[in-house]
Amino acid sequence: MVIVGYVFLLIGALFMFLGVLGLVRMPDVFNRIQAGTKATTLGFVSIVIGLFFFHPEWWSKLLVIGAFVLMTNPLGSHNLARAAHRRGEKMVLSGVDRLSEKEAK
Amino acid sequence: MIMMTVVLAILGVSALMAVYRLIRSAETSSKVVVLDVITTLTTGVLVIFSALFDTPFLLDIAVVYAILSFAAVLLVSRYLERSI
Repeated sequence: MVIVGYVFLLIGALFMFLGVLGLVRMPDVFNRIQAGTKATTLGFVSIVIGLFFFHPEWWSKLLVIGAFVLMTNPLGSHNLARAAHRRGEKMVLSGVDRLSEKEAK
Repeated sequence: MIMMTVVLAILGVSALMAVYRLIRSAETSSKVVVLDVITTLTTGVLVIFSALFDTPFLLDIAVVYAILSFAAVLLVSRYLERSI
């Protein structure tokens, strides 16, 4: 059981590291949002699942914190992306901007 | 125990890289993105500490920290949008 927990913890830490690596390497705000938030959410939930294998009696608190982060992290990143778009941040890689096309109609 | 140290070391290196990105980035919105990621990292470190020191009340602190970081991100992004 403990070995499975260690594997989940290591997967979570690696995903968090990959998320921060994407944060460092990506060129503009929207790419940073999608690299940072998705990868770190998966890493955090994986760490919480790994901790469940160490202490199964803490399941209620672990469930609360895992579900909370799983729900609120996408909400925060969505609000940030909308704020960055309304502030007129430039997209570097892609020329497609469906939100501006939709708001122009 | 050694594996916990390895996991904490990976998280610490990630936090240092995020702080480097926070200092180097020019726009405010990308700084807020980096702060969001740093708070998620800190919540993960708190959760791991609660297993390392065998103290379940650190989980409560982690829950409150996650709630406060979510509220902070929402508030700052609303402020950047000028719709608060």
